[in-house]
Amino acid sequence: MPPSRRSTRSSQAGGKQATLSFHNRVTKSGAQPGKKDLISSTTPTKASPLSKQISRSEDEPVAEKQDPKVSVEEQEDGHEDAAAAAPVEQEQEPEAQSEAELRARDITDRQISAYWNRLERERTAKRVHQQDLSLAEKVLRYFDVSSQYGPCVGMSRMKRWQRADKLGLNPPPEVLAVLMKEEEKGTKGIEAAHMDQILNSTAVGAN
Amino acid sequence: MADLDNVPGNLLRKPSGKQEDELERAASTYKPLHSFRLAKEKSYQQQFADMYFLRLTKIRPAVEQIASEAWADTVIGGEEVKQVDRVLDIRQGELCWVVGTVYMEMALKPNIMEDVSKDRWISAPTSTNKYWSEEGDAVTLEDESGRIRLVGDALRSVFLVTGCIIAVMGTENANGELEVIDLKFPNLPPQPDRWAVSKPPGANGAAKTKTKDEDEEMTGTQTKGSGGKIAIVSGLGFSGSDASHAIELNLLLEYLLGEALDPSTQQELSQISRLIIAGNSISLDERKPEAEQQTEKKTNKKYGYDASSYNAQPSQLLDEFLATLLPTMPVTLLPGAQDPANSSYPQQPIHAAMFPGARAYTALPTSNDVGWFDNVTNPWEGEVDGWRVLGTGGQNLDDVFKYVDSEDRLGMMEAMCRWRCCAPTAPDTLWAYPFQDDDPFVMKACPHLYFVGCQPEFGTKVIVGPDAQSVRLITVPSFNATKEIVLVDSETLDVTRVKIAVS
Repeated sequence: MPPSRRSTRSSQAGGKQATLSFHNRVTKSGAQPGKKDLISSTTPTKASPLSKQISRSEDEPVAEKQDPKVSVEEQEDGHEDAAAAAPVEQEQEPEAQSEAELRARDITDRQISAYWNRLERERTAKRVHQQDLSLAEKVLRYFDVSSQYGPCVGMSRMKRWQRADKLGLNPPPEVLAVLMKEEEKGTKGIEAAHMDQILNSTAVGAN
Repeated sequence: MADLDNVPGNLLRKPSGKQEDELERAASTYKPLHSFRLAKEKSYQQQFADMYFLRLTKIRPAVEQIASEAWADTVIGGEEVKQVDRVLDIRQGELCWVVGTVYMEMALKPNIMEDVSKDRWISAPTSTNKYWSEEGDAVTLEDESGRIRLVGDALRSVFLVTGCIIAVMGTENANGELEVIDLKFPNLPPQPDRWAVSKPPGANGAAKTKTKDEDEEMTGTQTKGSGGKIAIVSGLGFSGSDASHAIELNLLLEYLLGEALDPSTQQELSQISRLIIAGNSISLDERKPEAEQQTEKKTNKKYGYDASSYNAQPSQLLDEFLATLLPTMPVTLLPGAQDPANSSYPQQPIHAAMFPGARAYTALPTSNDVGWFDNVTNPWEGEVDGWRVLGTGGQNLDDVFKYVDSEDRLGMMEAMCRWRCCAPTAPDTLWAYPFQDDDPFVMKACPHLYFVGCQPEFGTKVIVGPDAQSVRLITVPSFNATKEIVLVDSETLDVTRVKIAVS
């Protein structure tokens, strides 16, 4: 007699063995904004200095995450707490970054739009195809194509600004202000350059 | 037989009967700098354009300063020379100067675009000796805005490879090419003083504070350290199948241990304070002939590779060599092109797991100390006996060699120092990690000693810079071919070459 095929019959009958499911698949870039939302939702409760230290020490390789954490916590504690927290810092770099970020935080929306109008006045013709973009996105896209700060592909915008600052290229602080404001608002898609997102999207069905 | 006894250096003599003094090896002050270490979690998502941008941004200020000092008041043909910001801003008929990165278009250079387009018809890559050819080579200058071709006789007298940053003065001609009148290089970077990073050994072990005239003080009080030597060798080439230089390797070991030769020479040998192995310690075994492979029955492939074809003997031989040498002498090991380390520049240290015997002399992975056995990166920067040393395993010089029409390897090393970049052809033809935050190949500080290993022959030169920098350049020959090692005096940086021969 041929061996009984119990396995196939039971799966056909919908037996005890569970079928594989792909619903809880880990997404790639979608997961990160969710993580940021989690942080911003927990910070309204008063964070102890110890938690500041812990959250600053973790995620060290992920440099881009470091900056939004520092900025978000400092915002709710105010400048004087930030100065007190500075000795608590473990590395020197977040302290220096927070200085640039503090200065950028003082930049108001009016200054940002004044900066943008200055740039627009240098052009002889109006910009086309940018009508449905917010002012923030326009400022950031102009920063992306400014090649004196390096290529915009392959790097998040915040990291690129930090790198330009470290190399002494004097990137405009208004761009940093826009980046931080957009992160607080939780706008999706401003983290990486738009060109980067286009280039990295994989086309299914090619080849 | 009294005559034989009195001949110095003669081992053929009666036992003298008196107690010989024990020889002590000179101590070595050593501090490696981890400039080329990569993080354990490396991301390869980024593009290589960042590396060129970083290199240009870091070197541009220096070149601009030199160029503006040289050309500020130059008037040629009644026209003043102006600086332009971008390569594309050059106008025809206008005399101007610009800073950019050199890019060489060569027909014989492996081109990734051609490889990708010929995806299905690609044959095995033929390795040519030189990419340079008489015709079909174009030198172009590039920056963020664009590229312009350079022509002119001034280009013929200098070495140029892809990736070096230069300032060019000239004007655009009718063909849209830039006619070069003059070229300027960034020249040597500022050189740190001796003992900039590590502390010199004090007379009674007390570390003195750094003063301007410390060098004079130190040579007076140091009795053991003065006259110390650093031994550099490369291309040891331990192999499972090739035993042509096995005797010389053994003799080398005895020489370094101080077991060979007579007491007077051994006195000199005890001055060798450190051995630096500059690459290619293990040689690649030649492939088995094709026929033999086909007649073998299907081998068991576990984990995707055939474990039985791995020959552990070369690394075992190297391990034995190191374990015998390490008790008496500290060793610094740089990986080379044929060593079991990653193939892209900068090569990370060979893992200590390869050396079960010599592993005992390495430092603990979590501690900051440096053990007597130091696996380091290739290229490597460190401070040995106070001198800032930069060493590579040879891949950078071999790659630059392919670009230029010359056999002068020392001249190319000098050119690399003057370009302030120790691997300018990375990432074009020299595989490199895509750096995004910092380009470590840019020389921030001028080394006192720059050596390159695995070269076909020995050579040495001293070059001087505009700010009284002086660099000793050494090309270290491959031991398996030439049986030579190099000894560098650690006070004067003089170089001697020692040949181990069986006569």
